[in-house]
Amino acid sequence: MLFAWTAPLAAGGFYLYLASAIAIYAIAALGLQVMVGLARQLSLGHVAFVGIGAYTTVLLEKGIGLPFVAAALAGMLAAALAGLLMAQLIRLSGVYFDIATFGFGIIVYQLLANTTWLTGGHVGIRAIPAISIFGLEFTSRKDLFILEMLALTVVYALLLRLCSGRVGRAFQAIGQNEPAARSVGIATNRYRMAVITIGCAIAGLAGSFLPHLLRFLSPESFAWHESLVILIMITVGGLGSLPGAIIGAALLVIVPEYLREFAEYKMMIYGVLLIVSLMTMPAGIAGMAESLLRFTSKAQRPNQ
Amino acid sequence: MSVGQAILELHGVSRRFGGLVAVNNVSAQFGSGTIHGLIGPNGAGKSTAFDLISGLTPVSGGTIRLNGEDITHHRVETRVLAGICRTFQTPRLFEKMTALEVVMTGCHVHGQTGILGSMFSIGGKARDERQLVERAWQLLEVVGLAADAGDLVAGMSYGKRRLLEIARALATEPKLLLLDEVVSGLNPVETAAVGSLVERLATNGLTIILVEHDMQFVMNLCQQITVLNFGSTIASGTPTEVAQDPEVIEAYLGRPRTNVTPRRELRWKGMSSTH
Repeated sequence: MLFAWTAPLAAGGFYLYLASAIAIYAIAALGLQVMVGLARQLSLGHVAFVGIGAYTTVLLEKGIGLPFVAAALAGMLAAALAGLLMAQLIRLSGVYFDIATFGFGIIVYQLLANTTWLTGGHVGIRAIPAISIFGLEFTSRKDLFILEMLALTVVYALLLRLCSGRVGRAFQAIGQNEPAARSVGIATNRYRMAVITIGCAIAGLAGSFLPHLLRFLSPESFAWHESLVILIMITVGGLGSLPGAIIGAALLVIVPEYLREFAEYKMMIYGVLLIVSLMTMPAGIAGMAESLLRFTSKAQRPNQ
Repeated sequence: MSVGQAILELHGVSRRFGGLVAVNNVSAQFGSGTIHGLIGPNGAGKSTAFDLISGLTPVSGGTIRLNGEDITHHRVETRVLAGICRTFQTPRLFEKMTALEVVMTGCHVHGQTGILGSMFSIGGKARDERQLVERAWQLLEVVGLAADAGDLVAGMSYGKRRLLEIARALATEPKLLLLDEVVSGLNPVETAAVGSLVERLATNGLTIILVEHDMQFVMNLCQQITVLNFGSTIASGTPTEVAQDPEVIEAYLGRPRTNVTPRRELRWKGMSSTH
């Protein structure tokens, strides 16, 4: 944790940019991890909520000069409301819900691309205002990284607590056996809606940082395949594991940056990465690390 | 009713799936503090009856009363709070949890901690958790799984899964426990253990309804038996009365003299494949 905080700050430059991108995707992946990894409410359009957060934040900052914190909270709220709207689809059973989430993602993308009067359409929005909090301007990459890491740390801590208690067990129970969860009196529909809303709100928070990093905002950042990338992050990192979501985000941001020559094969590389990781470590990197730890601790016991 | 007053009453309860009538106009009373058997050939509507009582499936008609209160249209969680909990024909557990966590999940309806309470540790989350762990340990002891508390469900034997599912149901603090084929697939030693557990629970005042194919198990344990066939009640009474009922004998063994199928294949135990 300390390393993740300090190393990019010390290294600066391109590494700082990379770490800032990782932090944003890690936040989005954490939300999706609770929603998909834990409660198994698959979303094939998750990046739409990152987009809703991003556009809401920037439009409020540029349009009415709202300070960053207020605009980001509004972005989160907008994403949460959109999530709650999508959550109404849980009445659809199984795979129909999954397909509907995909449709939801497409609709949001089309709205962002085609409401030119509001979002600028494919031309996008340039001149993203600097982050200002209580009148202070945070202009440098370092400032942005520190703010992102603060958000990431808070989100991680809150989700860690959420996953450990009564509510977290209810989410897990729904993810592992929904009829059984109902049978012990867990109000499954209410909890499913709650976890979808939480996941989407966190995606919105991640989105509020993205334009400040890219210094540019266009719908292309929220095309449907970007949703798959976040799903691959949590799968490669380890479904259900919060550290896994961060590891997966780091991996899927770093790998393509170092394979820039093969940029047109980006999705193919993601695909291969997913298949190889699922075949060699079905529980993801985090699951693998956990079983290694268990193995070594067992092997040591006789010596104690 | 000979033992206690009725805790659960079904009045003309029906359930149709399209053209199929799974449960047809069933009326029955289940005495408080008794062990009550619900038996019948495959497809007789026993498991559907459990789905209706527990609320997992809505009724197509009729009323269900718990301690006199109409609960026909109550949600599952309301019924669990009121004291009804069930197990499943094949155990439905949470594979990635430890045995202890499964039982703690069973305590859900009695907890207070909400989403914000969990995140910010307000509303006595830590105290709730400590009490839950203690309660879950006690219940694992009751079913004899205390030694397996830290084991992952995915690695547990079938017999232990059955017991764990009972412990999870007990965690909801039921007054009425519905056990769906609780000894199917168990060896004689495990069956005996479940039998004595059921007896102990009933002695402590819990009402238990067993859906069961193992006739010896049912006849030994139950004070009352209701027999279903093709979704309708065909007999009700003490084990001895039911065993002598001509309609029950016919349902299980076929019509005397006119039957074409060899008797051997229609014996009680011959019916025990899952439906």
